[in-house]
Amino acid sequence: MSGPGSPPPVPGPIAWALARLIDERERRLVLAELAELHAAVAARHGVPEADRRYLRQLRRYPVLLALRRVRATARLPGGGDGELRRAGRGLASSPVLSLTIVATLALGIAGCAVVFSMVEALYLSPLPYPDADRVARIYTDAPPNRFPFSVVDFQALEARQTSFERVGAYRNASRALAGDGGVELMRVVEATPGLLETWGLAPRWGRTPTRAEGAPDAPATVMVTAGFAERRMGVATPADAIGRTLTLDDQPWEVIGILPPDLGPLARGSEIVPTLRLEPPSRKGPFFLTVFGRLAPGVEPAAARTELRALNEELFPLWADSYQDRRASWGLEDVTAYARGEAGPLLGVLMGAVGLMLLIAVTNAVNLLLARFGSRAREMAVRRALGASDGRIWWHLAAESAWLAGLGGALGLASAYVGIRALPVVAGDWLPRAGEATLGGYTVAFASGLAGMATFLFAIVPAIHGRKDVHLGADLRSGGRSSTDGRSQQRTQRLLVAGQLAVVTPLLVGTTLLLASFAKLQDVEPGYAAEELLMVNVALGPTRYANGGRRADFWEPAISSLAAIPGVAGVTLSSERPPDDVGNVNNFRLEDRPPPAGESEPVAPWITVDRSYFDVMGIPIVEGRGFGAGDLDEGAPPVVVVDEVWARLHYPGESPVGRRLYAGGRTSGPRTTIVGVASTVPYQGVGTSPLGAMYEPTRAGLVNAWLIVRTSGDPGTAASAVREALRQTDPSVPIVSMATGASLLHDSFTRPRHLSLLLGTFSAVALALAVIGLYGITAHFVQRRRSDIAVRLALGGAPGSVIGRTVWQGLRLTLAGLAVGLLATLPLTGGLSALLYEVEPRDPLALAAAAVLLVAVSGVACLVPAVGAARVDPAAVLREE
Amino acid sequence: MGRRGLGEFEQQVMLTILQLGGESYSVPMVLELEERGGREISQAAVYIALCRLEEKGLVRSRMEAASETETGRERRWFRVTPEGLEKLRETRRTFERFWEGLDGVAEEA
Repeated sequence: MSGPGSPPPVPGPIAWALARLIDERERRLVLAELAELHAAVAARHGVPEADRRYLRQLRRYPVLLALRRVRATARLPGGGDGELRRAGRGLASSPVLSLTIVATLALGIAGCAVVFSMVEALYLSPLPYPDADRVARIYTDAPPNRFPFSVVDFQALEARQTSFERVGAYRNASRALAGDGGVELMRVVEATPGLLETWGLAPRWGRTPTRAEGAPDAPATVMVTAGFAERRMGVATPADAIGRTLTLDDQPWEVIGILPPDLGPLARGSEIVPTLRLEPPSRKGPFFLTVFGRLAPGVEPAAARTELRALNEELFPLWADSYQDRRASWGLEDVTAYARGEAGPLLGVLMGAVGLMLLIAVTNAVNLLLARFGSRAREMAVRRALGASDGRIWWHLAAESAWLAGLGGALGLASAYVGIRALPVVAGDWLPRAGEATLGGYTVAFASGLAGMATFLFAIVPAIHGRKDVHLGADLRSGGRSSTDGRSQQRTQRLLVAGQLAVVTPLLVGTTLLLASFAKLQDVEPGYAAEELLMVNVALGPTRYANGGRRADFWEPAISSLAAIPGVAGVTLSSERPPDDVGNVNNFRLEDRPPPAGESEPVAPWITVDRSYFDVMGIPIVEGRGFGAGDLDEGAPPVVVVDEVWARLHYPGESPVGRRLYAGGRTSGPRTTIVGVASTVPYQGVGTSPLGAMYEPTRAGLVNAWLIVRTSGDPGTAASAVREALRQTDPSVPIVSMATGASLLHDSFTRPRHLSLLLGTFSAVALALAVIGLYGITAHFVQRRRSDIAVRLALGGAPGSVIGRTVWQGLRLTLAGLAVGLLATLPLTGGLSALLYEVEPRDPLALAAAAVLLVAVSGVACLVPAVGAARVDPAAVLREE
Repeated sequence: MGRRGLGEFEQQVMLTILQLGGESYSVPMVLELEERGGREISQAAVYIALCRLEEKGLVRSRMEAASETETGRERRWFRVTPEGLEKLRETRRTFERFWEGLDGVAEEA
């Protein structure tokens, strides 16, 4: 448990390492002294600084102790030290080879370590909540969907449950924060009393809200993080902020508690935690509360699950008139899995790609070492003749390997450190929680393990051949050449090259698939004219513009003033925007096709738009009509426009125009009529529109909405005029974001673009390494056969046949590798299917393209030495012999 | 390495013990080293330097039981041995010989 005064807990990997480096008594002493230093630093510089320094200090221990031990063993008797030094000198004498091996190994290890650091952050690091394994997320379980709780659900759960020590809920919201510099929209986490206790977080100063402060008429209270208090509230120490007032949405909120700077992955990025005061519900929905519970001591998750289901059963009949889905119940999930989100498959693909790349790098290095070992057969023979034992030679190889792998590992870790720092910049917007990765203990251990494995492979393969090929006498007599040509060594080298080509194949196929999918995505017609659009997200404070009429007081003049800007061709208003921002997915009940008893109602993105929306966006109405002025009149019958996907889904082969439905969980009252069908526009990402969309007309009621401006030229140039016009309409209303339609469309492809680029880079490096290996072995083949070739040419053989034979030597390896690679690829590509759009994981075209690329590049790699072979001057070569 | 002179950090560690009244444990030493050196000092480095110095016989340590300290935590106190003191003096003399006649250089900023 951490808290003011006591240092943070010792991270698992460090505790593990310390246990192996020093004995129990020393460890106790070290930790006691560190704790005392922590207290001393805390007194001078504050607890957060002391915590940071404590962890930094702690991390140094295993590193320095391990270094000390390595130094001690390097000096062990038996000449190990000298061997290591001799091996180092030997490698330094062939710097190109050594550097190539170190660099490729470092690249592979760095790639693996960077991806593994994400695995560590998401899977291995404990969440920063005490006893996080006792915390669970509670959700509405309507397979295949898991969605949040409603107020009804949460209040019933809180009142009746016995399995949890504490339950709490939050919802994400945006609130306008008034400060010296004007109004700024802040992401906040609105939490019920009890949420912080459920997570096990305690305020650094002050207190958490009481139960009474969660009542609808209670005074407004708020907690803020220590960082926010210092930066934004102008206080000397965060504790001074307690009792002060924050102005959120024009209302005063009293600060009652100061939270630690980081609330962990469940609420990361939020610094303001207003107390959620839940209004008594009048119907079962809507569902917007994310609920957590801390299991009571001795209660197993299975027992809690049973209780949740029973409570849901009890509750169901009470609200059956506004909620009919009998199949839905309440479920419980591990909070670690919940916090992890959807990064799993993506990490799997990346880990696979970097792993294959490392495999190729290691194979490549083994191959180079084998070649070098072959050419040093004479040196080895001399050493043997001088009395060196097999063991001694083996030890020499091991020392060389240790150098190469050690340097490669160290360089790889250093690059990984840089890479992990760069991760949030490079991958922040498409890899969930990329910013949390650090070079932690597990990652260092993982990378060291890889380096260790490389050491072993580097040493073992040449050592095996050392035994087979190097025979005393034979090598000295033949000047070392016979063993260079040792048959088993050759066979191994060819096998290794073929193996590399086999490993490259799945990488190439994966890249081809992702590129094909990316190309298809970009070819998708978005369905609206994205160019020449400027999209401006504006949020009204709910107090100043408390009701529909007053909100119109902002939107109407705002639209008129934007329309008056020169070069603006049209202005409209919408609650959501294409291609990938929809917050409101609502349920409805078709009058003529009610859902079967006990099943849930269908849902669709629900987009509230100004009546000019379809015109300004350039979305054609394909049947019926769009919205008219009359649809906005007081007392006008409610109408909606649906899109083509929706129409196909609910009225296949029929026209939906004129049909009626109940909106939002009602089963009685006014019905909404479908008046038209619009062409389909994506709201949940280009290429995905599984639910279709429904549009309803409004102008007044929106709080947080998009003002969409169509310009007659480059929309970017209108940005400053738009900003100024909105400021003049009401300077207290914050612009949340502003972007051109084209850039939003472009940004929606960020993830596939980056993923293709990344996998493409891995594949290119892997392909280059494998092909260099192939080139090397072909060139070697030519070198050995120089005299054969010379004889052939001298006897009138055509150069073309020499080229053909040589290329075939190499291509045979490619074809063998490719065959094995393709067989291995087929089961692997399935892992990509979640990331592909309209491309099958076994798309024959992609497989063929990858194969053709591999054969073509291999062909070039073999052709270069083959052409050299055909140019051999027979007379010169034969004279040499 | 055994017969060679003292490392710079080792000297600093031993001098710090003397500065702190002839006997000290690691926490005040880290703080003092930071104070005088003007940079963050790794406690692990101090710990390892002390272990090494003790192996060379230049410092000596004794344990103070948890029950005797005001923090209720164990401490290990270090003292410079006569050999250590002699080694420090010798190192200083060596340096002074090198500096002899270079006062002009020494005064420059």
